[in-house]
Amino acid sequence: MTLERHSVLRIVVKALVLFVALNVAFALVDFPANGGVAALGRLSLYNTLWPGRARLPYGDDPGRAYNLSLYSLEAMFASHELSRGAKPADEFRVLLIGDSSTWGWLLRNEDTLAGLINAMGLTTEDGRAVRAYNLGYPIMSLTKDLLLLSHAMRYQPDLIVWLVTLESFPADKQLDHPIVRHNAPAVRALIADYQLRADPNDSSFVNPSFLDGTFIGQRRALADWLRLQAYGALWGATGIDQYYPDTYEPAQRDLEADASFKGMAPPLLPEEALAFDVLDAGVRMAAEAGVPMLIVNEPILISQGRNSHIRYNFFYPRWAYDQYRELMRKHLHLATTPGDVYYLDAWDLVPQGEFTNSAVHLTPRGSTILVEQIVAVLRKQMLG
Amino acid sequence: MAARFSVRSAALHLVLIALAAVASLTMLMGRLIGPRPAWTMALVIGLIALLIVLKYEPFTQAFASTLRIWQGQSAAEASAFDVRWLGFSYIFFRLVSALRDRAAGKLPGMSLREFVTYVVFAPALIAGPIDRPDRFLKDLRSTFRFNLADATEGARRIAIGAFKKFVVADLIAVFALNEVNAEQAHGAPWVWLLVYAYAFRLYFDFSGYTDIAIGVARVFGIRLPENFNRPYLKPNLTQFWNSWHMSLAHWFRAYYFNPLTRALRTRAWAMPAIIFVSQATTMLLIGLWHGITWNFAIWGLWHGLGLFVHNRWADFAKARLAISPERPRLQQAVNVVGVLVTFHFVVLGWVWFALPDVALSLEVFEKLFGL
Repeated sequence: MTLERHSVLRIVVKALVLFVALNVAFALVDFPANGGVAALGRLSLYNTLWPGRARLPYGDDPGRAYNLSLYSLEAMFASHELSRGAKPADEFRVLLIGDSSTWGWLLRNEDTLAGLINAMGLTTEDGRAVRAYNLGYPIMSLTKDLLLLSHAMRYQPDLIVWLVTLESFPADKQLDHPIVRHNAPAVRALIADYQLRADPNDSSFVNPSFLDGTFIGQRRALADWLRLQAYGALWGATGIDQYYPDTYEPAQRDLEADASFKGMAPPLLPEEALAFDVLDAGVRMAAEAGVPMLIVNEPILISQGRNSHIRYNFFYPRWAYDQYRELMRKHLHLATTPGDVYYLDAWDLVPQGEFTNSAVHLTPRGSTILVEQIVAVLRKQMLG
Repeated sequence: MAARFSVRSAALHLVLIALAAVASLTMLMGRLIGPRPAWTMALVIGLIALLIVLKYEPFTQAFASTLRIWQGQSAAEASAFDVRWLGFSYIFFRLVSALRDRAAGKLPGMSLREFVTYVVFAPALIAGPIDRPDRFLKDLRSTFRFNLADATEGARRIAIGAFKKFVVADLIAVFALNEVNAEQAHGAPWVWLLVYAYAFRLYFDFSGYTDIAIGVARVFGIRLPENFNRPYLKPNLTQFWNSWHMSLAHWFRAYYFNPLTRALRTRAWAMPAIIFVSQATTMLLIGLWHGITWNFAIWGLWHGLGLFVHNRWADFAKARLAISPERPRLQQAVNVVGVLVTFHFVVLGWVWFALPDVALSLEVFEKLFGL
């Protein structure tokens, strides 16, 4: 009995030592970024066992969408088809950055902007095949776009198409999203490198402690990473990466008689209330890498319903949106950064019948209309 | 499915009272009527009728609706979950064991408390294993002293079981075959992957639960029987069923298969016919015990037929294709082929088991074989 008791004690002590060692080692791998999860994120079954995803992982109903949201940029990009391997010499690589309309809410992959561009079989003058990659992510924040862009630059783009809308601009909402808050070190680096106005000590940042970086501290991130790998099988088997409901609530056409925008009242939309500094940072980032950029002011639903003389749609009162467009035009015209920056203001391009459940979500037909315009600019300015 | 789970479950105290009432009633009737076969048979038939009501969806729904109306509520609120009891499937086996052993004079005398403990023994209530009353009673009656070796072994089994169930099985479950992804999946290799995933998910889930049950019982000094013994590594279907849900197979062997075989032997039936009828009906009943649907029936018959074919083949091969002990590699190769064939036979059988209807199952078979 005494011997047994000793054996048990020895096992318990050994287990405890191993447990602590594993946790400390895990935290040390990549502290303070994300603990071992950041390093682990680079390991992926995608592009090996499963096909790479055509868009970044996002989903709040994994059981039906075969997709889920997570915070690890490494894991997100490793699951994307962009990480399939070295860039082919004959590829003209186009990265599309933007919000849920770029990601393709309610759209099959073949109907997203990237899918439609790829279906056109474009080639450049020197014979390279144009290949578009969907790096949209269903959150409206330019800082989120910049964060993803900074990560995407390692994939050697030849062109960046950045789709933006006023809803992504409010300066005080830039950090108000989980993926931004949970990637504090990377966002702080962007703030420092590009002198962004955002506060690097903003209280919304999630600052991981050493304990948060341990195996136990990262259990949620680890479970997400594991589930992302598992859902890859269903992505491969079904080609489904979001839940498509049979019906959905169409975007609002009859609007409130409310002229305010994010707490701001007419007549003036202050430029400093918008995150043009983040837009500039993206332009600079591309320019420094010698990559041309096309900025697209994405189409919005122009309602003809009740109070549509006050608001264009649920998101935007007319006065604010009109001033935003003026500011965009002025700002991009005055941009002094080197490199090629092109601007397409596609705000009224798509008829109101081609929007789905939001003032920026397009039907397949609406996406096609937008892609035709984007490609026209590309042909004229870049592809020859 | 989500809607099903949103239905309010029965209150725990009512379930416990119902369980205790059924066990007590069975015990008392057993005492009152003694080991008389006719009464035993009547009680067994009553239990089977109750099992059918709880296992056949339309009956369960009708029963639940009746109870709702009786309580002055709308029948539209009725759900099968109003009346299904947690673990009734396993309680049924224990009650029938007790009745049959009593009729055969093999049931040891036991108090009402011992009997109820045997019937609703918490660790094994929801997923087995199915213990025999005499064996369970032996452990229950031995004086409980905390035993470090038992506690350690119990903790080990619980840890292994929890890992199997909550890590491995739940992760594989993400992409295991189900009625939704069966329709959505395309491409034979992907559909095979979903079916394989289902097979392993089921194994790790069920054997994980069993490990936890055995581990918890062991901590309390009760040694429940094993339920799994590497079933997917068996070279033939007979051995598979001797290592998959072993306590269920033992139960059916003891209370159905053997008595039926003995009864049929008294008639002038050919041996293959006896074997076929015994195996096919045993497996059919095992299938229907999971739920009274066409798919469970086909799954049962699938295995019944498989066992019969294996039995006939083994009989044929024993005389003609015996491998010399001097050729161990050939024996090894035959074993490997046997494992692969058996595994795939079982895996394909799970298609019936996993899906709710025959048409969808056939669609999956078409996809699996690229038809």
